Amino acid sequence: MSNPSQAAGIRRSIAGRLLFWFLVIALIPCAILTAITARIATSALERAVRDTLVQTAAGKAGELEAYAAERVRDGAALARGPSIVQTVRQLAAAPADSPATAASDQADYLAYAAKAFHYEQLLLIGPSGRVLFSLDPAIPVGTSLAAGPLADSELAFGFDRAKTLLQSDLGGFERSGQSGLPLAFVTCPILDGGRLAGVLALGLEPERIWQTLSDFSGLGETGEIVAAQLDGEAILVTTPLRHAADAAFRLRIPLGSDQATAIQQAAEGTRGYGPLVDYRGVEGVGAWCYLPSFRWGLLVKQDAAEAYALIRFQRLAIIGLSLATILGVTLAALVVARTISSPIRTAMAVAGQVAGGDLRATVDITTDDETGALLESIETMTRDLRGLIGRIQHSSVALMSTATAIQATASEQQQVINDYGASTSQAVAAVKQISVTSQELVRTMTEVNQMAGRTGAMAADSRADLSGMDTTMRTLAESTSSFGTKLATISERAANINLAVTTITKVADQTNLLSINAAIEAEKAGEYGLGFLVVAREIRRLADQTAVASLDIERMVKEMQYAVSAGVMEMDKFSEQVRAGVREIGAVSGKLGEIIAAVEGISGRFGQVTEGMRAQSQGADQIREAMVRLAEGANRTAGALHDFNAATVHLREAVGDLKEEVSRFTI
Amino acid sequence: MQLLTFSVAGQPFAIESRRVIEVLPLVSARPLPQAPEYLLGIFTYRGRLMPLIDLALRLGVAPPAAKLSTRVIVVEVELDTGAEPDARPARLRLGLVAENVVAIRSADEAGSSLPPLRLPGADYLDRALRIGGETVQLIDVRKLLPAELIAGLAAAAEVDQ
Repeated sequence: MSNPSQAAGIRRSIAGRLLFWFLVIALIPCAILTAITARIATSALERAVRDTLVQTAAGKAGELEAYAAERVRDGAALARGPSIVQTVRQLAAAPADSPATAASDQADYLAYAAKAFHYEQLLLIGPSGRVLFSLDPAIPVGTSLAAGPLADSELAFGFDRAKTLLQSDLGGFERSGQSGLPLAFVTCPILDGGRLAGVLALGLEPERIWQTLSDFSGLGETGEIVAAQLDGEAILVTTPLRHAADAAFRLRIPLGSDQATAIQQAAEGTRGYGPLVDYRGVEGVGAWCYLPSFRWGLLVKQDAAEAYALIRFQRLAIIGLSLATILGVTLAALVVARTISSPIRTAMAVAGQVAGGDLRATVDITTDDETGALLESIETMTRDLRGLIGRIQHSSVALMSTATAIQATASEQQQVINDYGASTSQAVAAVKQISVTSQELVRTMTEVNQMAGRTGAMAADSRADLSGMDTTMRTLAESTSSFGTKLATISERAANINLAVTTITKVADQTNLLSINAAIEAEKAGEYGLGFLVVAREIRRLADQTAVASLDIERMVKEMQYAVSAGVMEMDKFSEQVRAGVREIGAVSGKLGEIIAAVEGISGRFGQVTEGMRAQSQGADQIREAMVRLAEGANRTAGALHDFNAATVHLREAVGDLKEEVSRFTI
Repeated sequence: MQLLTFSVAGQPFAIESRRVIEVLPLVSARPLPQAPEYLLGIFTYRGRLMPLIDLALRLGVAPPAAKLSTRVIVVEVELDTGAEPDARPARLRLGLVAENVVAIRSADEAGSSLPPLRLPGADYLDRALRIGGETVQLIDVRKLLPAELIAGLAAAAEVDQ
């Protein structure tokens, strides 16, 4: 019988161990190496992204700062030009109602100068803040910067700075009208002989800056550059964006918002690099810095999806390769394990069948290596066992039938002897019982006979004593009953006395009542009844005395009655006891007479019975001795047969065991 | 003044003998439904029915077993009807069951006396007298029963007249 679960267990074990060690040897170094390489590559890629972003931000910042410095420098140079100073002088001297005429001959020159230095607008402002000359139709000549709508404008702030510090400066961008691009003014003081003659304001449009910031080279598909300035409690984006072309000076992001965090930090003057969430809510990575000339924050960023695309691809490649390697190693391990474990499993199945008793198992030998040799040995062993077991089975069957025949005969004989022995033993026991009982009877009879004799004598004595006692008791009973009669008479008399006393008491009571009523009536009679009242009182006194006397008599009679009735009761009881005694004595005396007669009759017959019993007991003893000898002979025969039978049973058991062992094998 | 003495719970009591019509041996009374406990019922006296009161129960103690000296005192109570002041007032006769009714004593022998006590619910208590070493409590039979009970019984008294 094969054992599939065991075979599977062994196979699993071999395959499992092979697989385990294959994986340990092949995969662990590979995994460590891959992890290290991946880490180095990832950090290199991250550094490349960072370098690109930081360098781009630095480059743009430098470019814009240089542009701002150049504009301020050009403005300062223009303001120092003699023609500008002269023009200001003329315009300041001209009357306030007709400045246009004074400036008309200088207007062409000023327009040319602005174009030549790449400024979109040009203003000349007097020291008082009044506009002396303007190319911008939105700000006509004569407008005051100190008051009116322009008082809080960036232009007014720039004018104040130039007037106070006497230095050229670039102001912030601001939308001057309802439409058009925002303007930033470069304000330069115009000095005439060391005295402030006016301020030259040169308007700049942001086109040039936007061109610089729209250059996304090296930033991929999603990279962009964002510039923004602080505007109250929000930041204002100052450039068109790649994903929102009209965002410039329109898109506002409140400070502290979850989105566009990096540009908020940049606008507040911080420099940095790191992951961020942009104004669209998209995750990205970027570098940011501050542009002091423009008071802008600058952010160069790229979406995380694009920036880290290479890293993600590298990760997927590593995981795919690892899985493929594990699969290959596992398949190889399983194939090797199968090659080794298959012949072993076959050998195990055959051994299991032989162990279970089935010797018909055959082996297919497919290989000629060590496992093939093992299978061949097992084949030989099974064949030899098959022959041996076959021969043993034949012999044991013959042996078994012989032993069974012998045992049957022996059993039969022993049964016969046993029956005989048992019968004999029963007879012996019965005879023994009879003998013992007879002896017992003889002894008992003798004792009874003796006792009967003694009883007869004692009964005769008792009877004589009882006759005397009977006479005495009779006399006593007679005198007791006469005494009782006398006491009864006394009790009767006492009752009569009591009756008389009761009558006297009632009469006394009536008399008392009569006397009371008489006294009451006497009182009602008043004076006439006084004498009668005395009589009534006397009557009452007599009645009271009578009542007291009669009470005494009544009490004495009662006491006497109690005493007599107690005596009568005692006497009655005693008399009854005496009579009972007389009766009992008579009965006992009669019984004793009967006993004496019976005992005398019995005594003679007992003698004869005892003699017969004795003879019977002797006969029973002789029979018993003969039977005992017979039973001993039968017992000895039965013992010998029993031994023989036991030997046969042992033989048969041995043959049975052998047969059972052999029968486990199937040939 | 003569006093008819009796005892309740072993203590001596008395009634003025001029209120007493007669002393009778103990009679049995026919019970009345819904009557107070001390109103034992009605009994026949010289062919007339009258109420029978147990003095012991009226005075608030349990009566002992009847003896020869337990008797019925027949008394007469004047009814204060309020009408016709000149006319002879209506009179109600009552039987009082008392114990030890065996003597008449004279109030003139009294050594000292105590004025009537006024106890709530017991205004029938009259003077107390000291006679022959004993303190005898007088009972005023006119106030012995509550007014409403007297009024109820008066109907019978009217018929009797």
